[in-house]
Amino acid sequence: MQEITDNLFTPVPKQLNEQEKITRPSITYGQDAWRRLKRNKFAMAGFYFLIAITLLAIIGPYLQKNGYDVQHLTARNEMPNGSYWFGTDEFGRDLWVRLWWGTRISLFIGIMAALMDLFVGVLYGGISAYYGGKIDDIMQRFIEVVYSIPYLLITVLLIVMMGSGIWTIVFAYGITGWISMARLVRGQILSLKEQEYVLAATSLGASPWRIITKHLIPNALSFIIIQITFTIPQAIFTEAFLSFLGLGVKVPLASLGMLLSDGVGSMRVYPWRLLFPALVFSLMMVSFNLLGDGLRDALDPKFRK
Amino acid sequence: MYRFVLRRFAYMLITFWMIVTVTFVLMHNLPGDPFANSEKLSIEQRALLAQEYGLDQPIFVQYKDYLINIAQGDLGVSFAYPTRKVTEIIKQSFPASAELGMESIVFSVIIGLILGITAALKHNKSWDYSAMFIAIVGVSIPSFVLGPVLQYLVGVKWGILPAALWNGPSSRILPALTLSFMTIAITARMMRTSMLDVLHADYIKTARSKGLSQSAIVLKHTLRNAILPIVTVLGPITVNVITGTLVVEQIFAIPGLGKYFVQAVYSNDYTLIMGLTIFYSLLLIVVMFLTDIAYGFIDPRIRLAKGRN
Amino acid sequence: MTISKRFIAGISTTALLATLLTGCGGGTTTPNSAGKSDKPLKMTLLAEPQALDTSIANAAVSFDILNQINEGLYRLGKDGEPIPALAAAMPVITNDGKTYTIKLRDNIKWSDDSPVTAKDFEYAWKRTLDPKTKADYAFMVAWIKGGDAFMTGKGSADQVQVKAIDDKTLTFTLENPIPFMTAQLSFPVFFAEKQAFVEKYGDKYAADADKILFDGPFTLTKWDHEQSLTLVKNEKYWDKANVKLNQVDIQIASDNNTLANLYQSNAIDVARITRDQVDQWKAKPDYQISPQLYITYVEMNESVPALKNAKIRQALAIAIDRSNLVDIVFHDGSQSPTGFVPNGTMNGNNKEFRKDAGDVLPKYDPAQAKTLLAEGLKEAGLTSFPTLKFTGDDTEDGKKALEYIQGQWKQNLGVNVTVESIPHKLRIERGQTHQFDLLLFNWGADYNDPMTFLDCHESKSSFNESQFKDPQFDELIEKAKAEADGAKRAQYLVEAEKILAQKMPVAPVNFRAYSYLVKPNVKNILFFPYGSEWDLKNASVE
Repeated sequence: MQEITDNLFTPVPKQLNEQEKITRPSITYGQDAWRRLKRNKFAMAGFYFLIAITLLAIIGPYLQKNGYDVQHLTARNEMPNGSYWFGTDEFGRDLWVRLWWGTRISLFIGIMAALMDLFVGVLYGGISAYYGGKIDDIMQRFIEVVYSIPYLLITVLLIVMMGSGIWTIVFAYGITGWISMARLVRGQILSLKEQEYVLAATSLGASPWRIITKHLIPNALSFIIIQITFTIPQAIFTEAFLSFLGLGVKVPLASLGMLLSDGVGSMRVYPWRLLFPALVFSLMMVSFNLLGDGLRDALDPKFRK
Repeated sequence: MYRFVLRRFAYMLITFWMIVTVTFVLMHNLPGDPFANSEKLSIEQRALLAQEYGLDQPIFVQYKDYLINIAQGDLGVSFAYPTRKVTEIIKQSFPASAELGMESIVFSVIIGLILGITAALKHNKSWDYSAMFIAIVGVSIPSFVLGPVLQYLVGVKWGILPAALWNGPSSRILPALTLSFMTIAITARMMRTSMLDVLHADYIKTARSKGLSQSAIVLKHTLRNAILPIVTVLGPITVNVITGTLVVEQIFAIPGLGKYFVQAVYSNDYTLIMGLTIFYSLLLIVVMFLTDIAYGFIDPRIRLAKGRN
Repeated sequence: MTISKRFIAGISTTALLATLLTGCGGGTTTPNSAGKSDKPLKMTLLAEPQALDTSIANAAVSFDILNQINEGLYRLGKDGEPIPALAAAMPVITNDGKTYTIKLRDNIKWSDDSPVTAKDFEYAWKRTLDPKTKADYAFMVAWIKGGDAFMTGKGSADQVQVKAIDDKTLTFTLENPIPFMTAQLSFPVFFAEKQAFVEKYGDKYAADADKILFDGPFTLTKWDHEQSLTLVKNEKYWDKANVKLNQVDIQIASDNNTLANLYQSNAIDVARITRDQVDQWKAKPDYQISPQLYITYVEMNESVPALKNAKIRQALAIAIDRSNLVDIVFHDGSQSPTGFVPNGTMNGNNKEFRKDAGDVLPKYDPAQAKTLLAEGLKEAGLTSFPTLKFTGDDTEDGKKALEYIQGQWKQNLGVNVTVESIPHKLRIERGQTHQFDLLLFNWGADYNDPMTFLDCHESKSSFNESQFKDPQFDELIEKAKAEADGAKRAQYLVEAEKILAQKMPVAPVNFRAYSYLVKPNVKNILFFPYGSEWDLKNASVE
């Protein structure tokens, strides 16, 4: 056994920058989130599927020469075949075209809902949280009143007063739909408000508007994005409900909800009229939800690996 | 704490009054009149009926009378069902909706719990993804598609359960299941998130380093703390269930309150519309009130923060 | 890891067990009347009956039940002809057709053993007319002289010309002769009510099963609001020997799909089905069609310049392929219209109006339509047909009809219309205030006579939504209203309808029918074309 003496060791030369060396490669928050998201196979599948559906919604109807409201009365209730890829309905209308039109409408409603969330919900929550105190109280009371009115009753009342159609639905959503976003943003900002950089900005003389829009909201951005990813399917889902109750968009247009509703009725005799809209609808919902869940995981710094 | 409760209660009342007013105004702007057969009645006949019902009085008078009546607990008599008071109708039909709602919440919580716990314990592995996928699938099929499909397959083709109606315990299963699908995703997600939060907490690391077995950790510490936040989703769940019962009740011919929503508005049944709005708003307000109180109990930071600024 | 797996397994097993245990309850529970071996008839209603008070009942579902638990002086038979029920025989009518004298049958009793008297009828009819009762169908009882005055608050109850001469004799005088009056006495608003009983319960009268007096084939033993009703054979009924059923269980269900599923799973014996389910069943013996006295037509508002010209209206009417429409849109046994009065309407002279008048509508002819349109536009001084609004109910049938007709006009005439589906009440309002261009309109008869389908086109009628004015037509209608002779009256009406066919104020698109599924072992249910849907007095389950 060799004896361990001092002369067996030579000191390593000290380099100042060695101490400062960061052993992990530096990446931004965004890059890290994207990396984590990519690893979630389900979420990525959802993401690509949504892109595919959006593309189909845009170009789908043009792949056939029939309009969505053209009735081919000699070709009614046909099964999917060469000239009508998804078959026809009882008026002989091309279901392939109608399906992608329906997807367009549903996506449009979803996007309008998201926009309303962004412009109304975020600002409302942000302002309410920033000012706090009396203003916050009043704004929250107002939200509570609106939230407590049964959404369906208000929507039906509005539809009866204003007539059904896509804009009534959007309007009805505009009354109550942005509340979850407002609440969420308020919650986030209430906690962010206490951070030191906000104190610093205020003492430097930044206006409330600048603080809200340049500091607070961007930091709550991750939550906002996640919430929107869930708002869109929720709005589309609600519209489907309204369609089932007969309160959907104006005929002869059809949203996915109306196609589903029609399909359920003829499910036993003409099952393809339910099958295709149901597939597109559920896959769309699933994709949004998977993406949202994946984003939530990816954007939460606690789960950084 | 007492002041906190009192303040919330006062807000409740104000909220309630505003809802009543808004609905009243909207409602009286509905076109047409509340008489069921109005298309067969001549203009003079309808004017006569309106007079009998006091509908020809100025709207402010009608409003005042209505508020006085509410204060005494009298919601009036339904126009569509002239021998029944609105309070009676609600009392008669709500139990079925409530039962349906409760049962669907039970299904949803149980299934959501199982899926959420599995997902959290197997975080980021295939079990996690699969469990969440199952939860989501439930949410992607609307109940008006799922309901009829289940009704046909299980009720008619295989004949295992009753296809519809509300007779006997076996008829509860299909509708409750259909309704529960809408909220499974919410509960599963919530369970998963709160479990994950708790699992990463310091006191769990302490427990583990103390040498506690996994099951002891899950049962004793994690589960109890993770279930608490169910309170936070009580609001959205109630809203979902309320809207959901409408469709499910129609499909399964359940004698609940849901169908009146659309029916009352379409037939201009003023008293019933007001009655329903008041009832459901109260329900939501009470749920939110309880949620806030419970939240205040659970998280002392919220209680105190309200007093500041 | 094993423990948490077990934990999960534990929860799931418990949940599964719980559901299975509750699941072992079995199918629907149908209470059997003690000792009897006959099977109950299982039916459904589309909605909760609004009121079982014969004065204020106003919906088919209420009439359905009232027809089983109460009875009128007359009852409708298989072919819609009146048969003496609580009356002993057909009424004695004066030559001017206005005064009726009716003798009541012997041994007719209320369910509390008191006799049904003529006074009960007089009381009921006056109660219906009383403005305080707020009865929707008071206008029918107002056909009696003095009735309208009392109903509008300008007269008193004593001036109403209906009187119980004695316990068994009732007499009344009409304002104008009405050929179908005897049949109309089978309508619930003409049933009897016992004064002491009604006054005892006040505004709770008929609100529950124990607050109704029965004098019909069945009694109502259980009424779970919104859920179910149970009818049991009435042992005090005068004709109980001919009532074969012992019990009827009625459930309330409205969704078409659900009804079809319930029928197929044998939970119910009768179901009304619609378009989507018809194809599946139409070849089977279960399938039955019940034509209704119910018409759908397109109203054309004559205050719109383009619609003022009769040729343009004709063009619009014959550009619609009606037989295809009926098949595609309704697909439930509804028939292509051949006039302005539906099939099955009696003409007041014991003949079917439609058979008498024949087919008066011009045939579907797109080429002719184009020609007429061009001519009409020239006459009206218009260069092209404007884009008008086509309004209708937002029901499924309504929407589909709108879509189809829109397509037809575009395809066959090159005419564009924008479709507007609105809630029913709003559609009614628009129609009555003339705020529309083209309106899809439905009218179901409350009595079996062509007048209900024709006098709404009189220029002075408050139901004349299209604002049609034709003095010849008005004259014919007024003459018919005052005519006591059945044959002459029928002739006036046939001629009046011919005018409508020429001037086409409205374009008929459908004579409606209902499709039913009835289990082959259920016999003798009567289905009616108006008023109440069905009659179970002679029905039986084998």
